[in-house]
Amino acid sequence: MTDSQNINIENIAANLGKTLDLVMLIDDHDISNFMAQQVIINTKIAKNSVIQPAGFSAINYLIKRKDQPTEIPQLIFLDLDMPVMSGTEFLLKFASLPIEITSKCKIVILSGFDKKAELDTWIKNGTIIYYLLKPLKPSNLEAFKLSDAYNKLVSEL
Amino acid sequence: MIYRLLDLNYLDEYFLGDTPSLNLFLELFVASVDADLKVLEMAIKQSNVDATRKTSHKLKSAYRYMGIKILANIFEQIEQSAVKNRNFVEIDVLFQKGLSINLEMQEEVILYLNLITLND
Repeated sequence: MTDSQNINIENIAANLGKTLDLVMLIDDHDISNFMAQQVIINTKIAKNSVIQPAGFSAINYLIKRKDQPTEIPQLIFLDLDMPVMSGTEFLLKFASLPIEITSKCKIVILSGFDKKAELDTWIKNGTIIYYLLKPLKPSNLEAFKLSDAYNKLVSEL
Repeated sequence: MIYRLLDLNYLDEYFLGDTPSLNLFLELFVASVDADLKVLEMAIKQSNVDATRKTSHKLKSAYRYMGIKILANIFEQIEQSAVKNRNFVEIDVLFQKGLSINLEMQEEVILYLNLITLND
């Protein structure tokens, strides 16, 4: 995680102007979703965004679009503290999805708590590429745009 | 117009002068917080630790997005108290303080929205 938050100027220059096609926000908090979507629009991190208010609805969304690669988000902003299916439970379900889905999606945690230590497995295997603390501010997302994690993602577009 | 709680400069970092989106957000914010305060009030009356922790956490997060630190801090104290000492007398005192400041915040939001409508 520390390495992925490094900044590589050459990568940034090579990826200037590139943007993700679709990102997904998974959070049960409507205020958080509204503001995060606003930040995503303003920082031009993606052309489109889709909101899922729960982990299980996000899993259903992904399964239904297994054969529609353009509708699979390249990046998922995942909250951890959600009722019914927590962020950690979502990660377990996500890992069991077909490779057509999991190979296309990377995950950024967007949480009010710092629980990086509990997510070591997914950080080490590259599923989680970045960790952001709420409230999501434009400056936090701009920092993410400068990270190696983001630039690696857009360089593969 | 100077508001005591509503920080329009802070919110402009998110909305970049997009007044219709800001107004929509403020309407959503007031409705959402109102609903959550009712849930929290019930949770405190029932001394329900889990519901008190979760709803106060949600409110704390909402006020942080709104840039209102005084309210974010009150609901953070409620969240921590629910987890640590579970003192519902202390929690209710904090909640009543939060309700009162929230009412003031809502009045400022309504005033702002009315002024915007008048100027249109």
